[in-house]
Amino acid sequence: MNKFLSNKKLIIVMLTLIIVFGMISASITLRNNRQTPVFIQRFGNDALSVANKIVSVPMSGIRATSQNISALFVAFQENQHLKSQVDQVAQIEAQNQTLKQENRALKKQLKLTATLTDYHTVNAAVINRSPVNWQNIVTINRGSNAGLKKNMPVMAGSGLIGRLIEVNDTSAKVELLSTDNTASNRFAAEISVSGSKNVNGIISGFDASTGELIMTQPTSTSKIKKGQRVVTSGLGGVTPEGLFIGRVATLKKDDFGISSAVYIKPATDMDNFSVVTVILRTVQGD
Amino acid sequence: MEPEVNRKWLMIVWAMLCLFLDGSITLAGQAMFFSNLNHIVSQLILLAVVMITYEVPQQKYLIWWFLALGLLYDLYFVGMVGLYTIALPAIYTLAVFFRHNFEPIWYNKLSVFILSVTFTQIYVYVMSVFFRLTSVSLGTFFIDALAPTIILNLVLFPLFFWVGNLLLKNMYRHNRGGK
Repeated sequence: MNKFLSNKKLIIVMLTLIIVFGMISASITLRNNRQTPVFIQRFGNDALSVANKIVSVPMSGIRATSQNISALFVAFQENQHLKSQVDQVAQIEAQNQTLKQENRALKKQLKLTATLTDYHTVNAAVINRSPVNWQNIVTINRGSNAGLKKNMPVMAGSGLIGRLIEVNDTSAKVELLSTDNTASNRFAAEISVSGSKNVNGIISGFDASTGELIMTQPTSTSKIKKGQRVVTSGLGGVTPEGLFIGRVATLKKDDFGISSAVYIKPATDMDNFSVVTVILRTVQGD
Repeated sequence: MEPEVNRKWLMIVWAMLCLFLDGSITLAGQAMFFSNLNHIVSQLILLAVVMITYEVPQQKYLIWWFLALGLLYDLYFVGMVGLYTIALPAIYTLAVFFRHNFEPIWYNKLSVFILSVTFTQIYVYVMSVFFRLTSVSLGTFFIDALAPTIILNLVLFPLFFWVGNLLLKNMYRHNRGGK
């Protein structure tokens, strides 16, 4: 009898393990392959997002107040620093305006309706961050009703922070660039090298100890210097060209000294934002 | 004679509140919780499971209810099934064991809560490594994720244990006086 019981327990444990592994693999495959989640999941997520406001609205109020108070203490120094930049801003703005007009005229002449640099934006508020460790996912309060689609890039402040991995009707999940997930989609990036061809590569990792993004497979390393701008290259998928990612911090060789990796200081702190901008590229990719 | 439970919806309110608070607290503290190698998360949902198991005894449907709650938690926060869907019923079983073998006093409930946080974090880490969702080493996991997560949840415990108690005690219809 005891043997039977122990066998029965063993079978239950085995069955549970098989079910758990099956469920996780199936749901990861579904999440990666489906453009939108199944109806019941979409409905549930949207309903929870609405109900979440009961908690997220007062919490964001408290957070904003505490941030405002701490910002007051650095306001003077910040003001001095910004004053020194105001003159330059006006000049850059005027130059941008001229370049935009010139760009528009040239596109018209070439009969180009839209290029990889054209995009629209949708602003959204972050309503929660996944309390499940190792996921690096935040939920935002805009979904397919606002025109969002899976894999669209997401920015916060002046830099890229991640991409949409799940889009419901009124909410969406953003996987941050700081994720460790080996199955997540990568961003094609380029380093602006003055007077030379840009260096292309792929953002394929994040060094949590330094807070730097890792760009691998650079097409050339000879002209890469610290401080150079890194932007999206617009190649493949739905990411437009020219989204600011960050600046080159260091160039390192791997342990065997064969391939190089460029370490990039991100333009935005990936763990301190409450509003994001989703980028909708005008030109559709594959 | 045990008092009759007549406001079961309060237990749903408490569980859902904890679910939302987990996401909001993690977001509010993200600058600190995810700085450097840290991975600290709020796990009030586990406190809700432990407290409901103690406050609503002899309800056989609870394990299924926690399974559904875990499923909801997984789908809402991660978009994949199998982490909290399994962890919450397992913690219910652990809490039932403690309720039967130890006195239902606050420090025993705290012990179950700490054990639950530890168990859940280890389970999520093992699954994440297996499915290549993370490549963090075991040492980093213990030092930068498990230990600080336990500390954060210990800090949150007094406040939310008190609030949860106030709410869950109102579930009962007492034989005299109460409605």
